[in-house]
Amino acid sequence: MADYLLEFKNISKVFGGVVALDDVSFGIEKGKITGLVGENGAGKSTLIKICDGVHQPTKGQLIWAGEPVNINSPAAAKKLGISVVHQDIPVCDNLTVAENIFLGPKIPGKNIFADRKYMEQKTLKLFSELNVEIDPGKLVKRCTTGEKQLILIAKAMSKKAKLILMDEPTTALSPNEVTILYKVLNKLKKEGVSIVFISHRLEEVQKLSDRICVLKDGQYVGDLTKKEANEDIICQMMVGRDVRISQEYKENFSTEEEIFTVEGLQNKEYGLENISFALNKGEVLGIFGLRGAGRTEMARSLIGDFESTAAKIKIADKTVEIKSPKDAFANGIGYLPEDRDELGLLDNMDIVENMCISDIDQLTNMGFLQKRKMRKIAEEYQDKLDIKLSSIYQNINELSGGNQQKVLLAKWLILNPKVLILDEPTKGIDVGTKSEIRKLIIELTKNNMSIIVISSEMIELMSIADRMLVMSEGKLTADLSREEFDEELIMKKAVTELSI
Amino acid sequence: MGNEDLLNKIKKIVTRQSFGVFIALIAIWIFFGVATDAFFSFNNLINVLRQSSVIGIITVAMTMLITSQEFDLSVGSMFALSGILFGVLTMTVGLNQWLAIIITFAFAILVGLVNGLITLKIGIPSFITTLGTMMLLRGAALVTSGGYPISGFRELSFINIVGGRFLGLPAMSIWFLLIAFAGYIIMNKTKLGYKMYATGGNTKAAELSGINTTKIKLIGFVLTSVAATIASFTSIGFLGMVSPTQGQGFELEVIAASVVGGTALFGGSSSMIGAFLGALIMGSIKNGLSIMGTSAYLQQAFIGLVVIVAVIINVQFQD
Repeated sequence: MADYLLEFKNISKVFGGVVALDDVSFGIEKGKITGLVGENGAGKSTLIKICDGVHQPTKGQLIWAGEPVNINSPAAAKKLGISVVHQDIPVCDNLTVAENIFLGPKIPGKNIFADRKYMEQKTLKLFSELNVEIDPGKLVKRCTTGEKQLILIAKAMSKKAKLILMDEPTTALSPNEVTILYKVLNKLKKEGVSIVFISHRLEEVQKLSDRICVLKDGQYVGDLTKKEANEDIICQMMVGRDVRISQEYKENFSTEEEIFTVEGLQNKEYGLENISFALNKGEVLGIFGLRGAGRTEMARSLIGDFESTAAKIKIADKTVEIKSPKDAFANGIGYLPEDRDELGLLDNMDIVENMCISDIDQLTNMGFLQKRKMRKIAEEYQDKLDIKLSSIYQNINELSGGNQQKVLLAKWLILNPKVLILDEPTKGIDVGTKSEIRKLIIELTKNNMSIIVISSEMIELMSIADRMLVMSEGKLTADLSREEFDEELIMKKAVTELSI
Repeated sequence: MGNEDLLNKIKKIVTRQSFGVFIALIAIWIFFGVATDAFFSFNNLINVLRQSSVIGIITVAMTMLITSQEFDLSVGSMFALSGILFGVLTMTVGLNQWLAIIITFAFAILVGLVNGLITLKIGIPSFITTLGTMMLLRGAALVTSGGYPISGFRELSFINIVGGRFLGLPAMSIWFLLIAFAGYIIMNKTKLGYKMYATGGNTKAAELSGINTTKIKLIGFVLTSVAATIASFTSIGFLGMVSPTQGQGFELEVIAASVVGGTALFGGSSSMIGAFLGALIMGSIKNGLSIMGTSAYLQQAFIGLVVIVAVIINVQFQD
């Protein structure tokens, strides 16, 4: 029996009907580095948040050093000696480096006073152990993302943590900083600290970890020792599924005619490099990538929402210049954003208004809304897309996620674009509506629309795409025809650029 | 090398949040100095300090509250109600004055807690919560006093603490200086100030670091309400009376003083020295304009103008 520092016993976590973790049981060994891998949505981040006291498990028990514990707040987790380096790098930009490191319930200093001199000296010492050079008195808003990440790691160390969990700590780091991090982790391990390391970079996980645990769809798949692990086996465990819906028959309406071509798209800020591809008329082109691969950034660069350089974009045979989303729409490119709440919905407005907003100039007469015309259009698309609602004047916020998505889709269909870019079109919606949306996408190509579907749900992409591009670290790493679709191959391509 | 050090030092001073407001204050003083003969007399400068005191005392606490990302619009009403409550307790009920002071402060703490708990526990924006309590407390002040001012405080011995003069300065100014100093220490030297900056800078990061941000904000609400009460006592000390209509519009003057002093409206960034100077700007304008003999109606407009100009100047000096 292994010596576990923290053990998960039948942990389940349900968020409003969605199962994020399903009866997960395994342990984290004392003084070892445990790698944790899984696809997007496999439940890794939820598991970390349970360790950190941000979430409480719906069912199951945590065992800390042999004793059952309840971790009901971040403060409680810190008391036990659990430190988390979160993926989204939560720091206070308005404080200095040293102030961020020592921020916590127990701030150094006598009585009510905070001792900043002590903090700065301590920070210098921590950094010299880490072998990094950051001025402790510098404001964090002037730090690079990599420096912020190192600050959080130093913070975890300063707590004298027994267990440090890191959620993709290397995504934002430069190769040099990554090397520093590896050294730090091995040093901490020697000092007896247990570490959980989450990463999409499989090579990195293999190199660092003594043991690799795999999660899939909220369930624990199993573990591999350092000896057993290789990329093929890990990929297989991450994606291995019982049903292969990708094998299903799908009608193909794509033609040879290139409707939309992109040449040499660059975006330094988001790390996009030399992206070139062509979309054929009537084709469904899938773009697969893991979180952080740059999919959304690419899409928003294409429509001119993010500034990019050196892209030559052609619609049919005409070279066009796209500087803003408005230019994109004028040229017949539609974009359905991934983030429905932030970028898509007009909050608290009705369905008619949400649908007609994209074409509102055509629906007004001397500045007055033509309500009857709007109603007709809304009814037409409600019928076409089978949107379930009580009235077309219903508040959009009252609809389910799936029906909201259909309304947003209708908004674009009203404009009848030549090219439609769908960013995670089935994210966060129920299974039934997902399949309806998939059918609809194929239906649209039948009518000569060309569609790009961006997704991190591989199986879904495999079922609807005629061709698939794979993205990794801002680059396109594969261009696969439907005959070449293979889960392990795609996963391998999605992580290829991630090795260092 | 020495030159570079000096340059760096100058750069550090110039980019401080309080430098722009300092320049703005000097500009206003020069303007009044040129426009009037009396502005730069010693006695008048003491008057400026006195006229800044009531707003200033509340500004100190409000700056702390805004730093932690909340607002309190009920301070003007609280400024009236706490004085009225004290007046009713001592004059009408005939309670011992020290007991009445304790009760009044207990009431102030209660109001701060109510503002804070409604905002933080129920999740209503503090702007709305305190807009409600602003009207509620004003109404309470008018009802309890029957709409009439209360006077006769000069007979009470407590007036010696909040009224009169010490070291040549009016008592309310001494309280202002003391409270501003305490505010400076709290925000720059104590753990509480540190936590307030963290809470306002990134609430989520602070929470993940194990900070009880609800508690921190609650402290801010209580301090603000208590500061309005202290200001009310110093006003009683100076005037010898309290009116249920006093302090109308103070909430906006206080927020303006704080913002002119470099406080970011969305939290996380502020300067106590800046807030102190911001309050002085408010006092200087009122004083200068009345010496110039302009109408009271013009004061409002002028203050509005200065707020905008001062903030523009302040932004220029920040990188």
